[in-house]
Amino acid sequence: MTLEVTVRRRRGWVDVVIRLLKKPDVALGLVIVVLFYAWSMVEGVLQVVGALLNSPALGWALLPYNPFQPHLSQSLQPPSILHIMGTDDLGRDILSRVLYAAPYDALISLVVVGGGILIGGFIGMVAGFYGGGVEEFNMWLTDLFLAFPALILAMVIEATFGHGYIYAMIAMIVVWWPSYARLFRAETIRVRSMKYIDAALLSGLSRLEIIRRHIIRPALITILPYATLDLGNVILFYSMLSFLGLGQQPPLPEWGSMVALGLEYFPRWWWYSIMPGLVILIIAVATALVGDGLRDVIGGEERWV
Amino acid sequence: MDKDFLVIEHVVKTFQARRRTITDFILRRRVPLIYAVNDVSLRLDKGRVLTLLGESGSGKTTLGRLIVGLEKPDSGKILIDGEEVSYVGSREYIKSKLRGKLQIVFQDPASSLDPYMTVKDIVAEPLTKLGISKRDVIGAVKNALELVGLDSSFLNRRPTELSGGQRQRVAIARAIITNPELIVLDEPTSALDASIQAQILNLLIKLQRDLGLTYVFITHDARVAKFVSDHIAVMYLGRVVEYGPAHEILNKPLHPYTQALLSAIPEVGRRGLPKIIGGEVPSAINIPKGCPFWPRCPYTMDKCRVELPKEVHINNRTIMCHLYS
Amino acid sequence: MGVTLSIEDLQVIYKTPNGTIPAVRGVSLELSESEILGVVGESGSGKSTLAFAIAGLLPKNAIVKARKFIILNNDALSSPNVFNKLRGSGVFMVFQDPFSSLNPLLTIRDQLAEAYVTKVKQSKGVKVGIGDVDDEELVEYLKRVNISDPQITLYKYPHQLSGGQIQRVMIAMALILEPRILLADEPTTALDVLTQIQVLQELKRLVDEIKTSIIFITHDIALASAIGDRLAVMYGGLLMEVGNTEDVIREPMHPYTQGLIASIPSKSKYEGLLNEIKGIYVPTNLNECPFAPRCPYVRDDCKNSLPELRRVNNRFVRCRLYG
Repeated sequence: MTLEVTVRRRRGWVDVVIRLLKKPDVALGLVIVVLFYAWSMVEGVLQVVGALLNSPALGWALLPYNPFQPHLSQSLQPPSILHIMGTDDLGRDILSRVLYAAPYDALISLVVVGGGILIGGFIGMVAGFYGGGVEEFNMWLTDLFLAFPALILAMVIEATFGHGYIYAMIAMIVVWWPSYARLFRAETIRVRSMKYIDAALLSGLSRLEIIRRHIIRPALITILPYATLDLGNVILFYSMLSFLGLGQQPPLPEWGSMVALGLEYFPRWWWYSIMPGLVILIIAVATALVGDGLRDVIGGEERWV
Repeated sequence: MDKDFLVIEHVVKTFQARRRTITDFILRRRVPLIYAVNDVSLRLDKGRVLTLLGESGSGKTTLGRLIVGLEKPDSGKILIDGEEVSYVGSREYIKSKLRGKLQIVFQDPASSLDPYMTVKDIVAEPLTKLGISKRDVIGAVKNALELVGLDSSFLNRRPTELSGGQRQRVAIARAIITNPELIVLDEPTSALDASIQAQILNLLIKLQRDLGLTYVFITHDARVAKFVSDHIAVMYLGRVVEYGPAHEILNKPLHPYTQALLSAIPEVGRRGLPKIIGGEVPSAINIPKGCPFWPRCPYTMDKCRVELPKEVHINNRTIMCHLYS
Repeated sequence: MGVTLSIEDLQVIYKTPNGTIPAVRGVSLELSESEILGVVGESGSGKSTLAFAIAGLLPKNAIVKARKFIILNNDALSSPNVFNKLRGSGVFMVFQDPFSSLNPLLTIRDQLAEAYVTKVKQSKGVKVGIGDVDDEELVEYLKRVNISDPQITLYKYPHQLSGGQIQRVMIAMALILEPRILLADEPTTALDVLTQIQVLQELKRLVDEIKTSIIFITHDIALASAIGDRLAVMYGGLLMEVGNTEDVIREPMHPYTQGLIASIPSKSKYEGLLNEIKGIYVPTNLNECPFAPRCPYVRDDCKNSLPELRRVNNRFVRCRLYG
């Protein structure tokens, strides 16, 4: 047994961020993640406004090139100062296409993880707190969905209801919530055995009130590292889906489908697949680093373990 | 009604020793039961302190939880001021006149307070369902904290910033803020350093006197029982083996278990270890037939092995032992 | 009588990201064979840290300094490997927290057998396999610490036992190892009073038969006085009073010791409230007496400099009241 001695101090979120930034790898990951989502937000807004105002050019106002305009004379150019990531078979600048596609991945990662937390959280917390038959049923449902290979289930859903971005999103939410149900249930069970829950019951609070006051916050804090890491997982999975043709359809660029298209041209015109692939890899690793760092920093300090 | 303010009548509470499995279902097998509280009857007048004295497995914690309604008895009933105590999870609880009037202070100061909440919110929680204005709530919280010896600088602190004794004070403040009828104190000082125990015990007794509270005090330490109690009920394996006024039981314990328990307390100034009975408290699943104490009793007779002793009243004492029947 | 432990001015400082924490600020003591030293202190007194230092189990962020640190005739300051050699039948420690004391992946049997194997290797130099250890012998040890159904308990895993049972398993391990120095940090807190007595009797047997030296750490001075030959009262990382148990109890010199003894409940509430030691432990600088904030006899010079641990008759006291 080791004797852990630390000085207890009030920690706010500022503190957490500072401690995260102290580790160089986590700091790098954090910078990348923040840049990614910040960029996606800006670019996403531009694309939406452009669509509403019927001037799609807004969507590439900030990009080096128009991601849709083919320049066959420029096709398959290697990375250079003019085209940092090279061009694809239609002469389109790969960097611009990568940047244009970013908001789709950013959005889907947030929606799927957010949806997973909402649905899984509700099912898991109710299961953990009410126990008995409710718990049995909820966890049976969870296990049912968990048992399906995620990719197959997503493909089936899309095959049934249709292809495209929105359907991919829905399919992924269906596949993603069970893990969160498990996590929330485990945390609920842990908190339920705490004596302050008994005290709350004696004060006449209803079960739902107790969940709201005492369970939601520690549960969210506990799953935060996992959820952060999961953002990267969603992006990876969605890239896989669009690699298989199940994501947003051409001519809309998407990282995964760009990798798929570029395979034909591999290895001679390697940049076509590698560049978008690298981007996927970097984002996924960055979220993993931040998630890991969060887990080390947050790691149950406020809890009574 | 001050006399018999708390009435416990033939209360039985069992727990399943393990979860029922499919195999049990198929074989029509019953899951073994733990008789945590095995036919207990007690009475207590208002404003007095009853101590449940016993070791782990005696059922004292379960009985404490039954009294406030955190558990539901299998049979028997518990009345406080004439009103039957209802289970916190039931529909009747919301309408019960006793809601919020029965409080409990736990042994572990850490797990009794939500580490994510401030002291202010923790102490104010029992008032949430009473529809009191925000200003009055703050006033009540400050008042409660003052009563337990904490100033308003503690309002915005979190439990992780407090010492064990301070946390326990917060727990006590939370327990008294609704002007409860009765408070169960489950080993409230066992997890505290000896130098802090005296502070908290003094505080509890002062509060009891000043606020006219009725306490059910749970402990395994006879020294503490000596200080706080008006009445003592000695519990063993779910039964009350001896019950009576505190000073009588402590000066002249009649039941062999009580005698053993009292002699085993380390007394300052007495060097060396007392001679005691051996044997571990058996698990509450395999309760021996007859008197539950016979395997460890130095005075066992043949009768003890087969027949459960009846309760006998001697003067003010109630005792469950064949030596006296 | 041989001296098993001799330390002079032992200090332990923890380095944390938020600053350094002095846990033990200069403790000197000697321990002989067949002696039980009761160390009495509250949270923050440094008593557990002292035990970990003697057992060589401090975490990496702890810095240990001492003028002298001789344990079983080995110089502990020379190399950290000293402790590795001694651990087992030389020095053994029973921890305060039962739930992290045992390996959750091994049965009780295997862990007790491991102790047995260690004992045989260290005392006789013979190597025995864990599988060769006789279960019946292990059962006997479990019986000695009052564990019911010892044959069944032997094959259980730690998570299936209660805190009190685990504490008893650790004591059984100590009985198997027959260590020359045993550090027991609140070893009976989770135990019922009757079992506590049984366990203490077994510890006394170790002392009488094997000549073990025991450092018995507790916050309960009555318990320490029941079992200890000598008492050492610690506060704020320093020794406040050290002496023979009878003397200390009969005539406590240090105000803290007096307060500890006086605050033990011995009367009914109707005869008056308990004597309290006011306040809680607050860390202080080294240039004042650590007990000054709570001392009923505090004077100005108590806050100006730290009193030394002085010898007064047969006692050591650290208090301005005595010079």
